[in-house]
Amino acid sequence: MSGVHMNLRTLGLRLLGAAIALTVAGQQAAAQTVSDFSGIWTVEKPSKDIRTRDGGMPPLLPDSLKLYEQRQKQAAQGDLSFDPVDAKCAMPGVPRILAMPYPFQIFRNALRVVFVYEFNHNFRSVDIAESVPAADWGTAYGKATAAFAGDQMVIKTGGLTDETFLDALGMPHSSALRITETYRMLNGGKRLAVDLRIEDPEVFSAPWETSLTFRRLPNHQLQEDVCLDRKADGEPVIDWRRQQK
Amino acid sequence: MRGCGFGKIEPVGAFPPAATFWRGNGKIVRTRSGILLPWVAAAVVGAGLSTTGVYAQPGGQAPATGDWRTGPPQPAPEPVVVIPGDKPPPEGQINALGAGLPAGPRAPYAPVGAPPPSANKRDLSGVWRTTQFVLVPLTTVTGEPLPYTAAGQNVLWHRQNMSTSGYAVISSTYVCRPAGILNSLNFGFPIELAQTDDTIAIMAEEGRGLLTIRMGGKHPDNLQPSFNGDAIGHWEGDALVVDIVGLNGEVNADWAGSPLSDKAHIVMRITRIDKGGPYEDLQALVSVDDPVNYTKPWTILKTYRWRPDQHLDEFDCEKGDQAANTEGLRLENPELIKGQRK
Repeated sequence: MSGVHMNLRTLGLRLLGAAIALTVAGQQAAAQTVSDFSGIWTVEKPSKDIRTRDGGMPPLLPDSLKLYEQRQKQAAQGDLSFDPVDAKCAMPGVPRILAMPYPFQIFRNALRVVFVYEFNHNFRSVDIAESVPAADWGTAYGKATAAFAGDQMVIKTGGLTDETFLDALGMPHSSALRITETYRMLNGGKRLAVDLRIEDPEVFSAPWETSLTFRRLPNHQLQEDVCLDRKADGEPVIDWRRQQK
Repeated sequence: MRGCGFGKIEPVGAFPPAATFWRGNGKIVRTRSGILLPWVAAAVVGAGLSTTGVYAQPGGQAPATGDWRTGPPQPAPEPVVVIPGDKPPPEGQINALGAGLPAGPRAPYAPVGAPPPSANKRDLSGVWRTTQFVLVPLTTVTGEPLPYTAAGQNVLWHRQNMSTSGYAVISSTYVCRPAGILNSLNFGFPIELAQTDDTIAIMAEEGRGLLTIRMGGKHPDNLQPSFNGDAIGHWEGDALVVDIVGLNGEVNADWAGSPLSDKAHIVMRITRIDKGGPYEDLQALVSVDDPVNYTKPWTILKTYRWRPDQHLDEFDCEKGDQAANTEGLRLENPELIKGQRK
């Protein structure tokens, strides 16, 4: 085969490839119009304590309520030694990290939805799939799957460790915890809302729900955050006063 | 095996005076963040030694023959390839840059029936796994040792001598700090890429590495030094070109401890490449210019398999006691590695 023929063949293949790529890109763009949550977001009202949608105390079972009240008292006295996040910079896990005053970025591709959290370079990769895979052991971010329905993204999470808390005041949960996050866009994509359904029969008497809202940070770039270095410098592990512009 | 030996390199400069060093013969264990011998861990950590700027001296061990500080470097250990090596590169192609890597059984591809990478060649997103994970110092794409300056060479020798003699070499990951992109790309655990038009993130299981690449623009004038540096990217054809400056001088170039200074300038070219397998591979051609530690720029090549069937396991380094137990622990000679650790 001569060089000319090879070049023409190569050119043809490239044009074909470009056409396929454009078609795929077009399909992806069309798909993203209804369910693309990509971007950098920050919670509008950071909160140390998680409460039900109407502001009430979640239906903790008596022993769990007693434990939570004890931790709340400790926290009120400035003693956060019970908290692995404050004590060690351990992973906050879900849903706690959503209410923290640190931005996160959502990425989406054909197979996964990826959350990259600015806080201490945590991240979470979620399969776009039907059923939550089994977990060999519990982790802070668990095993999760994402599904898209209309303008909503629904993430179901299990496989969670019981060593994280639901909030910064030590609300407990067990490894039986199941979380359903339902995300939807508000204000033409300038804001994001998530409805959270918490199910954990070992800690709560009934499933309960809460919600959070986020605003888009169009000009923000996630910064490298090394929690242990901040802590070593005497800065707070979680700086509740920080504001994102 | 070409390029992996370390015998050609002669000592340059003298190691500074230090406390007595003792040889151990325990079994080296690989941890999630470093290499540590059990008896060292027990003796140093268990004894609660605060050894900032001081060498640990576990008792009861036979002294080394000769003086490690002035003698020749210990022979480098044979490469440990956790994932068997890539196939030999075709002659005369860019893949020949991979010369020096051992030939061997091919690293596993994703299972049959796994979804392929995106049809868009500029879509690098997904999970990838290196075909090569080496514990010895990196070799260049042409199979040569890295061109160390005297200062860089001494830092590496220091760490190698410590490691092969049974002392922990405290890398940034060992104290639950970011590994830096070069180390993240070398580790034998999966990496995951996620991208939008204006940001590309490279995540690594080991050390929970995270490099966020800003597409377009330029480096800011007043950079705050960081473990991963400031990364900006652009496309050249279907190659993602990433320019990184602003390192803090606290990360290494490789597992063995080849140093990187805060003057290091890293350029990565990341592409998807068809090497004849069932799925395309990802290749990262990484060039480093660090005049403090290397006499000239050098380039390495890393290849990764497409593994959509895998996830990055969660690595909560801080949750364990590793960070607390090793905080402030610096077994390296601080004079020798000055600038490499706080």
